[in-house]
Amino acid sequence: MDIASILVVDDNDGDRLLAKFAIEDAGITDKIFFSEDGKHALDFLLDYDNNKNQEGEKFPPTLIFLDINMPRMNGFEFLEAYEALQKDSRYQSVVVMMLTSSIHEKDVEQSKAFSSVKEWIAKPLTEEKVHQILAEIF
Amino acid sequence: MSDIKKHVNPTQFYKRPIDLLILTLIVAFVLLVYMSWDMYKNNQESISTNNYNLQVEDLKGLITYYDEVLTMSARMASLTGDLIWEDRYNQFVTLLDDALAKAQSLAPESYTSQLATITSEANNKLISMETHALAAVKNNDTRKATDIMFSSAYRKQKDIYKKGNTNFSIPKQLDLRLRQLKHQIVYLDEVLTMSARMASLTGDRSWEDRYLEHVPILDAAIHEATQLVIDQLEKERVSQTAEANEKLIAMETRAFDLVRKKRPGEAQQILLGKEYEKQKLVYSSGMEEFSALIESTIKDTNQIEKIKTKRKIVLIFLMIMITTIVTLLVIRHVQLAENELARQNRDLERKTDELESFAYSLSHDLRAPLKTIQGFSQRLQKKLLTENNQELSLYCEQINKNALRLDSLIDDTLSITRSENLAEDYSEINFERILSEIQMQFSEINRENPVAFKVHFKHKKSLFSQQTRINQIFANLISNSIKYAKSAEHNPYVEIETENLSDDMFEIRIKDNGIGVAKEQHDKMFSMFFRAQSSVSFGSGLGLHLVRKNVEKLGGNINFNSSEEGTEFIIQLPQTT
Repeated sequence: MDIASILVVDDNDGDRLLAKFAIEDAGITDKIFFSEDGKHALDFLLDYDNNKNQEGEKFPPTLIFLDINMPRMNGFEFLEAYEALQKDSRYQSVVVMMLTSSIHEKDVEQSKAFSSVKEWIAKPLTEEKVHQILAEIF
Repeated sequence: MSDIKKHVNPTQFYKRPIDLLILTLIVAFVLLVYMSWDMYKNNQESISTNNYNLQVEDLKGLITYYDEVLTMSARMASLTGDLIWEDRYNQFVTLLDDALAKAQSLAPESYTSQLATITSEANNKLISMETHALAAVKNNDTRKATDIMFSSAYRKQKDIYKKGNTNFSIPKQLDLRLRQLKHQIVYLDEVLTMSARMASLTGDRSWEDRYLEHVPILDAAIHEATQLVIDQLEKERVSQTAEANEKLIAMETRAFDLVRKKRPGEAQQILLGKEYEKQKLVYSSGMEEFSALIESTIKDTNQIEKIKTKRKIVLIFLMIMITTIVTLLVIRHVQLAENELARQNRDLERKTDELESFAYSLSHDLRAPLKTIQGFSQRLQKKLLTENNQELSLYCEQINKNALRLDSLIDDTLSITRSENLAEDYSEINFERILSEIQMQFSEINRENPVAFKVHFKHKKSLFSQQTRINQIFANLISNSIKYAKSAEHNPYVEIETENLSDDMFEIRIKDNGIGVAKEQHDKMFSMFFRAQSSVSFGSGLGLHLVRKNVEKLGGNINFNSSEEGTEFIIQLPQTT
């Protein structure tokens, strides 16, 4: 499956770096976008026309790796806003939640309410985990 | 945080009012016992009085009857000469004697006085006359017999006897007796006075007989009445009245004497004289006071009874009031204590919730940077391995191990606080999902020396339980199997089986062929922070403790056996629905 691009949303620069390495090592795409919080990510997505012009086929991102605990707008707040966009056929990215703790937390339960969330992965992101995700989703 | 420790000791609210209530109840009980005893005593007294009255009445009747039988038998014998009447007489004489003896024994002491003696004297005289008459009949001298039996002497004794007989039916109640005596005294006094007057006016000697009959009766009555009110009598007054009485009797006797000597006029003079008047006055006023005293004694007795009863009623009423008040007090205290307890419980719940959310966010905040550390150190280790830098690689390994250790410690600590308070709904457990998630979760730690998963879900009826707890149980046990697995040539595996033992019992078995736990350590297996081997790097030592806690919270039980060949855990859980 060809992944056009991936968006990584995380407030921690170390974690963004790890995600970048993991995705590059997995070699599944050559375009990675980064956002430091939910607001930035939402604004990025909403700025459709500009980004479409700039990135073409690589926008909007196929996959969004979403952290939960972020300032300004956290993961769930982003999801609520993003859920509203689902009616728009342009926004069909698959969201993967990145979790600090084990995957059996109430975060998982909460996120199940959102149709865009398809998978959960425990941090830190690694090459193997990325492959696993892809196998699960596609 | 420290005020979580302060817990309510409910008993200190209850103690004092309950002690008071117990005390009140004891007092009420004692009072009840006393009242019952009092009632019983009164009842016994009234029964005994009743019995006494019945017996007395009975004897009176019998004596009257026997007496009549004796008189008539003797008279019949004297008239008919038939000795059959003597047999009848003899039969009844013994009966009469017995009855009279019984009557004597029943009568109160004050009565066994002159009156009793007089009556029994009369009785003896009658019997003697009757015996003589019967003897005469035996000798065929019926004339003599009838003379005796119908003589005036016989009739006289009969009268005396009759009077004495009616007088022995004496009631035991003091007030009744006093009234009786009072009237008797007044009546007898009249009889005596008038007999003397009649004798002096008519010259008829039969009045003297009447007088003499009644004097001892009056004496007996006065004597008995005096005994009954003796504590309240003024000695001075008593002797005054007694003196007057003696003088009157002397004057009356003198009058009778004169009548006998056929000098009635002189007799009249004495009885209508000033001296007689004077003594009569003294005597009368003395007797009036005496009479009044008797009445007041009667009144006092009644008063005392009334007061006693009133007191008892007041006491009962008071006890009821006090018991009610104290009970209400206790109830109020209990309510207050319960309210306080409820309040403190709510407080405690709130604090527990706060603690849990604190632990949760703390764990999250602690782990986030830890994950990042782990991420980079893992990458570093990979790079160092490819560059063949053993030394730095070793350093990295240590960083990894300890980060992992810290991670599971945080996780387990959080789990412990959660497992106490988890109030998750029961839902159908999807074992396949749990296993696949765990395999993914442990893919990292299972990479070096992979442990094979052998899964046999043999159950037909689903388990309804708390998802999170089941997850934790599996995760902890399986991670242990991975940690304590033998090397690759032993083909390490972990076998997971589920089964319905019965309609209401679900069994989970998790078995491995790892290094096992030594027998000496078995009883410490489930204790907090127990770790069998320090060589196994990660693991907080809370794992098995958590497993057992979770099993217990689900109402189940857990057993294990372990040797060098491996370890097996057997968990039994109740199946609801």
